[in-house]
Amino acid sequence: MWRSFRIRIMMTMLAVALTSVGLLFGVNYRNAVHTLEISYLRTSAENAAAQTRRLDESMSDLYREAVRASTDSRLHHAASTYLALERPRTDDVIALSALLDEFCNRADSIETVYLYLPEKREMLTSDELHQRRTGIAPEKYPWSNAAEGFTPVRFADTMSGSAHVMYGYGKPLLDETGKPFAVICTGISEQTLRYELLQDSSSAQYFLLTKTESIPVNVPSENSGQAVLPQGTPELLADTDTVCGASGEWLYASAQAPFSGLRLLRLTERDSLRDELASVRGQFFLLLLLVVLLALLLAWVLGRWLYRPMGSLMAAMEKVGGGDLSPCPEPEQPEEFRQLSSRFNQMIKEINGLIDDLVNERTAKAEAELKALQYQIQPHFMYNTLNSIKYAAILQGNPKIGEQIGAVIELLEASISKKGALVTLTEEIQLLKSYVSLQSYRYMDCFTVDYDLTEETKGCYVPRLLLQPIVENSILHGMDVKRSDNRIRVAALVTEGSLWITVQDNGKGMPAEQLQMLLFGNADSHRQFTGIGVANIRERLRLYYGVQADFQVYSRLEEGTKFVLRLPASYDREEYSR
Amino acid sequence: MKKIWFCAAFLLTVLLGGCSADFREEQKTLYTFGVVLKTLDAEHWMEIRAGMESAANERGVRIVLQYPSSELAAEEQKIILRDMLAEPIDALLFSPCDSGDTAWLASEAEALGLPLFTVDTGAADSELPYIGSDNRGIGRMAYEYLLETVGKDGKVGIITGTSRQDSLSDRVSGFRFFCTRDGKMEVACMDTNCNDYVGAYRAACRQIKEEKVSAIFCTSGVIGMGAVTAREELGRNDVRLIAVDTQRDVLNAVREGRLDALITQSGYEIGYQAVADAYASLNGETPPPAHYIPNTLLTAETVDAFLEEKEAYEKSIAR
Repeated sequence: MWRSFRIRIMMTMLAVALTSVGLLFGVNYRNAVHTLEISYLRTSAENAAAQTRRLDESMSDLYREAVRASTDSRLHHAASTYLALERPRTDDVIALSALLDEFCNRADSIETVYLYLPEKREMLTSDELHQRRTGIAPEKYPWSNAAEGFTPVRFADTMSGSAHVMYGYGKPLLDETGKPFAVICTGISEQTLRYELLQDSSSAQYFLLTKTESIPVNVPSENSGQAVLPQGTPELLADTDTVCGASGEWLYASAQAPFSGLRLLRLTERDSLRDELASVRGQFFLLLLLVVLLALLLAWVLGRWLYRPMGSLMAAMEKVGGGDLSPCPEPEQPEEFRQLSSRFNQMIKEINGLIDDLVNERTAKAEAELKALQYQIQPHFMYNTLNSIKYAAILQGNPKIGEQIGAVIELLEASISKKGALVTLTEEIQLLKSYVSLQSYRYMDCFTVDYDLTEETKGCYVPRLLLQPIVENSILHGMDVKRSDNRIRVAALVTEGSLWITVQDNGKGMPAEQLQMLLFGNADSHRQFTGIGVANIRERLRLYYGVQADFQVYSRLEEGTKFVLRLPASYDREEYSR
Repeated sequence: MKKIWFCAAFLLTVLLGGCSADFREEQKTLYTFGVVLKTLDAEHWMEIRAGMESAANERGVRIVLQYPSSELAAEEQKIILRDMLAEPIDALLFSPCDSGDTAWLASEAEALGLPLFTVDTGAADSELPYIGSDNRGIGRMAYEYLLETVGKDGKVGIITGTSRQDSLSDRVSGFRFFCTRDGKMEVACMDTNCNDYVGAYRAACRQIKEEKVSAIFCTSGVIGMGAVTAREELGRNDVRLIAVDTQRDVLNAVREGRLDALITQSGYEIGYQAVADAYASLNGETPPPAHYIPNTLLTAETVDAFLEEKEAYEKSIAR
């Protein structure tokens, strides 16, 4: 199937269309994926930046109030007074705690204000229970020794029994000598930060990154703590305000709060985003299917259109193969096929010319040979001389010899006659009979020839000396001269416009090799009468009649040989003469 | 043919597999500037911040901004400045609450190799680049206006805030200088540390009633509003009042004729130029010792045009 030119055209067009569309859609799909990811990430980065700005506002409020409180004269006085007490009473604690609560209310973001008195290792808070704890080591609350800067301290508040994580700023209260005697801290819980930061319900993972820690945001606070970022999370540069991108299986967006230095990182699995493109993929495949069907249809139509001039050429070639050397019509377009057809017709013309030349050459040769023969023998002299011998034989009482000489005269006349290449079947049979008479005399009547011709066959024109070589073959090669029942039957009939002639003997028959030799090889001409072999009969039939004539031989050893000739039943001498 | 179909199918699968390359987009900050203002509870300071942020956005600069609870909270500001020095910043811009207590900061900044700039208010005890109004020039403008309106031999009172801030003290010293130089006007009295509306009101009442001043130079808009109330209450519209600032309420007072004149200063321009100058210095340029932002004298006749310009400008900034 693949050898068919039309199929190849179709498949080529289909492959080109499929590849082009596939590449186009593939590239566009990849671009769509990339565009979607970029768009998503930029939005995420902007959201992260907004979230960190909110985070910074809270942290900034915390910081400023811690600074303000650390310089507040009332707090200085209250803390100093409290420190001076050996055994503070509950009222003293409440009073100090109430002052802390006042600071707590200055900004919404402050949840708790702590006051640590290192000399007493005592902690007070602003909560409504006015909690007070003693025996607090400074290490427990790292903000008590906080370094300078704007980075909040993350710590665990255990004042109420259960620890919850807080972020805060600690500032020292300085006495007149500049020595710190207390530390105040304004704090916000991590849980509150989570609520502030998590504004969407997506499946993204959030992390709050400090310089040393990465804290997951969207997990319950009891499970919070150090988190290991998913493998593949790219290293985030400290000096980038916002960064977003894709790395491996993750999409990440991050923004850094400029004041507190905290960084919010949002991670999303890449596949979750691509699921949204599933519908796009489906649409693509549907479109691809439509394109394939369209391409098939187009390829079929175009293939037929392209193949049309080639089909005409192929039909012409088949005709030539069948023997019809007529030229094929030349298409106007395409130019290539027009040139091909033109060249083909030229080739046919040349072949016709060559065939004509060949036939003319052979005819000329035969005529030359005939002329040579004719010029070698003076017919009238030969006829007169032979006739004289014939009559002399008859007069001398040898009618048989006279009869034989008469047969020779007829045969010679037929061989060298200039009358033409075609004779009637009757004339041909007469000639055959003369030959048979000579051979009967020679072979002492060891064979008989029967003739069975229908009326309508007698006027048909056949090539001269058509049957003689066949009968000669039967006599020379088929017959067993030791037997006297050798029979040769010549029959002819006309049916459906064709003249059928059969020559059949009951001789020895021929093996296949001998049959091939007979039909296609040079015959044993030195024993023959005219030198025209059986092979020549096939050739002459082809030359005269082309495909309208046929010549078949059937032979079986010990049974005999049958020659079957078919040629057009022509009653006009000129119809097939060259 | 089979190979072609296989290759095409493979290519299609790869393309449709959505294999995307890794990529990254980042917004990198070129510089980080620390900014410590005096406060942020007045329109003037908000304008300064807006100008700073605008200039910073244009230049890829990140601003870390802090401020104390009030213009007088010098101790708070000092703590904030120390914390700011501990941060990884490329330049520090600040408006000192105490112009006389900046030497320690200049010393520590120099040790860190950190460029230091004063904004709106200068430093008295250290030589630092200054971006803001020419406050002595403001004093001169006020003097010239009052001389024109009151006439020579007029008695003028001055109400000002804390002397610890150069911006205010420079306005006073400028005004006094020209009064003394020309001898055409007498500074009859001066009230200092009138940092709020109430203090200014009381001071103005005293100056009008007891000192019999014919004009009062108020060194800030808040002080000016206090003086306006005093004048109205005393029914003394003959007393000329001139103040300094660009707050909306003060501008409206001028338009309504309650305040005779106002010397404006563009907080936005001050903030913008401060960041621009700091950025230029980090890129090799030498900042001038003082970069003065022009001031305008407004009266009832010119205040409307000024307000229109201001509104149009604010809209263009908002866009």
